This record gives sequence, structure tokens and C-alpha cells, in this order.
Amino acid sequence: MSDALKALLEKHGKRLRMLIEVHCSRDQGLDADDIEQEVRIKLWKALDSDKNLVAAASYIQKVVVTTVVDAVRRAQVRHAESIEDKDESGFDPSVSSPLRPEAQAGRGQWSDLLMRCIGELPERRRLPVQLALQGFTADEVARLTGSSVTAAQQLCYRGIEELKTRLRELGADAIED
Amino acid sequence: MNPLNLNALYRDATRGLPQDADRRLTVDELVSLGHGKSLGARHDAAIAGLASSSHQALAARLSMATADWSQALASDLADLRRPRLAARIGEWFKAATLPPVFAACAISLLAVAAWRVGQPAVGPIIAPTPQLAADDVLFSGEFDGSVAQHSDPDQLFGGDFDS
Repeated sequence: MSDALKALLEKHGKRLRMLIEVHCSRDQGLDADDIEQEVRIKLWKALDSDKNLVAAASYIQKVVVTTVVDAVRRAQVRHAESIEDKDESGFDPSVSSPLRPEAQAGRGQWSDLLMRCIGELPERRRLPVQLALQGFTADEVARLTGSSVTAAQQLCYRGIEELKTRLRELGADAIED
Repeated sequence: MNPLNLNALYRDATRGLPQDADRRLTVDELVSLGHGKSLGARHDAAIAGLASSSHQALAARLSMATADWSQALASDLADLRRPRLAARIGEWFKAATLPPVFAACAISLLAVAAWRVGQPAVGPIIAPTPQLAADDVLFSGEFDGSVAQHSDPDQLFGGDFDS
């Protein structure tokens, strides 16, 4: 039983890792391998300790979401600590940073401008655009907001185009599609 | 200047959990959204919470993405845990408390078998069935009803019978 369970969790673990990799970018500080391994261990322990446990789909999903939320919290703490370390150490040329200080400052400035532009969007476009920027597809936006997929697509597309136009007016030379 | 990636900028700006507690989602709520269910009165606040927190949005997206995966794994686990036929019969045998009944039946059968072995062998008596020869047939002809229906009694013996 244990070997069969192990093999089954390994088989499904590969697909889970793929799903996490698709949805988690590295800049969010999450590691797909770590999350997949943690989910597998949690399920293994629960199923091995309680032979009568009925692992319903919602239970499994809850394990996944709990693991992701925990991983996100840990990533948030690491991010906050790294900012504190940078502030305390000041400028250290030996420490390589993905962005130069001026670039980092520029990124922060554009981030503020983006938030301001989103705030200026018409209300009906604002929420779909925010959800689209968070990575939800038009289909998911429609499901969350209770609108049709076509309406969600149009609201997201027009809203993002409006944001790009506004940001170009504010000096953004190039914006990724 | 690098081209601006609006998604990355926005996710960076909305890192962490929302300040407003009403916009924070529980794990159960994230799972419900993953199944496409409405959160009722909390729904609007919850969706605003997804829009304003990249971490919550990530958890919700993964919840949606893993809905089918969870279903498939749950189904395979159920198959794995379903007992085989022999095990099920064994379980039923124990649960039905049949061993004493079967033991009593077995003892009774043994007793009957022992009694039968002790009896002298008596074969069944088969009565011989007489075989009829072809010329022993009593009535081979067809019964003629016209004789029985004859109204005149003297006609039966040619009219010579004198009572």
C-alpha cells in the first residue's frame, strides 16, 4: 500500500509541479519543487497515519492552497528581511543586485505611476484590469466577476490599452505586451 | 530603459496581504473560488482582495488550476484504497459474525457423514417392470361406439337370447 501510495503521489506530483511553475514566477520568491515536495509530504503523512481518511478533492486542494499560502508568507518575510539588510548595509559593490539602484528607483516610480493610472480608470474597467494584471485569464475574470467572457475580454483589453497610453504620455518609452 | 512589464510592476506593488481585514481570504474561501463558487455577501470584498494582493491572487489562481488535478488524485486514491475482492469477502465474513454458524454447519455435516458411513450399504429396491409381448396387446382395435349405442337388446346376441 505504502509503495503504491508513494508511486501515485510521485506521478501526480509531476503535474502539480508543472502547474505551480506555470503560475508562480521566480520573482515571487516561490519554488515549485519545494511546494510540490511539501504538498506530497503533507498528503503522505495524512494518508499514512489515517488509513480510513477519505481524501476528497477539496481536502487535497486545501492542502495545496495552505502550502502555497505558507510559502508566500515565508517569501514575504524573506523579502522584508532582504530590504532591511540592504538598508542597513548601504551600498556594497560586492553584492550583486538584479537591478541597479537607479533602475530600482525607476521601477518604484513606475509602479507608483501605474497604481495612479489604474485609480483613474473607469470603475467598470478597473477590477477586470487589476485581475488581469494579477495573472487571471479572461475566462477566470469572467467567472470571478460574474460577467460574460467576451465582456471580460473587452474590459481587460481596453483598460490595459488605456493604461499603456497614459503611461506613454507620462514618459514610458517601451511597454511589454 | 527596459520595457515596462505591467504585470510584474503591479504584482510588485501589491505584494503582501491587503491591509483591510475584510479583503483577506481564508483557505476555505480560496478553495471555494477555485471551484467557481460564489462567496455570497463576502464575494465582492473577496474579489477586491484578489485584485489588491498578488499573494492572494497567486493562491487563488493555483486553487483554480489545481481543481482538476485534485479531482484526479482523489479518484486515484479512492481506487488505491478500495479493498480487493478477497479482502472485502474477509471483511464481510468477520462483520457478519458468520464463523460460528459455518462451524455449526460443518460439525453437523460431519456428523451426518459419519452416521452414513456407519450404516450398511443398502441399494435401492428396483421393482422389475413386466415387458409386454406384441401379441399381448388387449385392445389394439379402435373402440366402436355404435355397438354401445345399439337400442335393441336382442340385437346384441343375434336375437337368439331368450331371457
